[in-house]
Amino acid sequence: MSTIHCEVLTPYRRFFSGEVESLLFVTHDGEIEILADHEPIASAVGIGILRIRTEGGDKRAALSEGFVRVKTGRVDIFVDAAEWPEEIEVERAEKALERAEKRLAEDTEAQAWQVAASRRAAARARNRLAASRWATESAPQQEA
Amino acid sequence: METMRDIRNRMRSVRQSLQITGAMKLISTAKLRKARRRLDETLPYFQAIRETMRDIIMHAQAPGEKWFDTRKDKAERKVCTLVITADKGLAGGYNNAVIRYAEAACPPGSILLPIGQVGKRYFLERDFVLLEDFAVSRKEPSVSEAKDVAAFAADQFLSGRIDEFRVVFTRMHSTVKLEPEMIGLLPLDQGAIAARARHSQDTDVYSYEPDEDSVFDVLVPHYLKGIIYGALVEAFASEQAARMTAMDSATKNAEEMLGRLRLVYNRARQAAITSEVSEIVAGAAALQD
Repeated sequence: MSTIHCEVLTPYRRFFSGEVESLLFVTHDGEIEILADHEPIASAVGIGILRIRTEGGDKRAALSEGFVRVKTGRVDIFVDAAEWPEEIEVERAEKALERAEKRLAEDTEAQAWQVAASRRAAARARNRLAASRWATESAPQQEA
Repeated sequence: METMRDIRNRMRSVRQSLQITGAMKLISTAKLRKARRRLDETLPYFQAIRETMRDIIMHAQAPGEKWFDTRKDKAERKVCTLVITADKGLAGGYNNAVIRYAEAACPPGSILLPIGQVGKRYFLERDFVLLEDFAVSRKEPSVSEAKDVAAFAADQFLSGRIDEFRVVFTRMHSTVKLEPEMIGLLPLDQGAIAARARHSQDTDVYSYEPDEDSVFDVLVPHYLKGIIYGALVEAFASEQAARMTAMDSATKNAEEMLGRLRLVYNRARQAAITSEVSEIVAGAAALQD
């Protein structure tokens, strides 16, 4: 299968760099899959799971917000944070989710942007938890 | 002539300074190592995001217009400059170089947004308008701090209060070559579009999901945040490098001074002994007479 070069960059590190068969992630417009020879696009990346399909198999990662640029033979994804499932601290994510939900439930005087920020924080935490859950559930299959 | 005690006192104070500068040098060396690692990790992102942005602007059909310069003919153009300095001094010419550079670039009365205590204190006392005070801890720049600054800049720009944003920070070419530099943040650089012709072999035309305006609304804040974060990290690394160099030369100076004082001290001691001996000899000679 033909491949396309992909870079996933965060301010803290070069998260991923390599040839991939396909990339699946969430944009503001819904899920999108990038294969080799995709038309050039620029789009916003939403909080969600990134699936990287390479010759060696599938990999998944939790993505935070950012944007993506696809050009001929190359995909660049710029996000605030990206983590492999095994890097996620479940306890921390659970606490973050708790905090965000508490803010949403209790702070009735919050400004619109504060509510939006809390919602995003909750979404990020849920996404992390989902990513790490996925890893623990599918771990035995991966070994097989 | 200085007495032996004077010299001893001076030597003690020099030795104390030496201890301080030596310790500061060690600390900033460790901090610099850490900051450099951060910088190396950020650099790919920083460079790629600028290139990508240039690329997208270049190939956009009718990019999100509000982010570009649509106010060229406005009579009074409000320019705001972010100036990144350190929170503390004792970093050689680091703060001074940034401040001088910023002053040369901004005529009195300009709008500034200082980041870092040294710059803030300096500009407060002079004829500048300080827009906002971001309590960005210069201990270790974080993305969320950069996000706050970027959001503020985007908001001021879109609401029309400020027509242009740029940032002055120190670029680290190497540990000993630090140079202040200014890059533009907003409006997006239309000069890049002029460069379009030169890159005409790259025929990609981007399509936008869902549409150009909403993509630019996400893309531009991210781009700004990336640039500001990169500038903060690079400035921080530069600060540590400057401090390390300054403290290194201060330590060397103190050591040299100590060496010179030791010579003077020995000479003074010798002189004291000689005069004592000659007094005794003179006294003995007087008795013999």
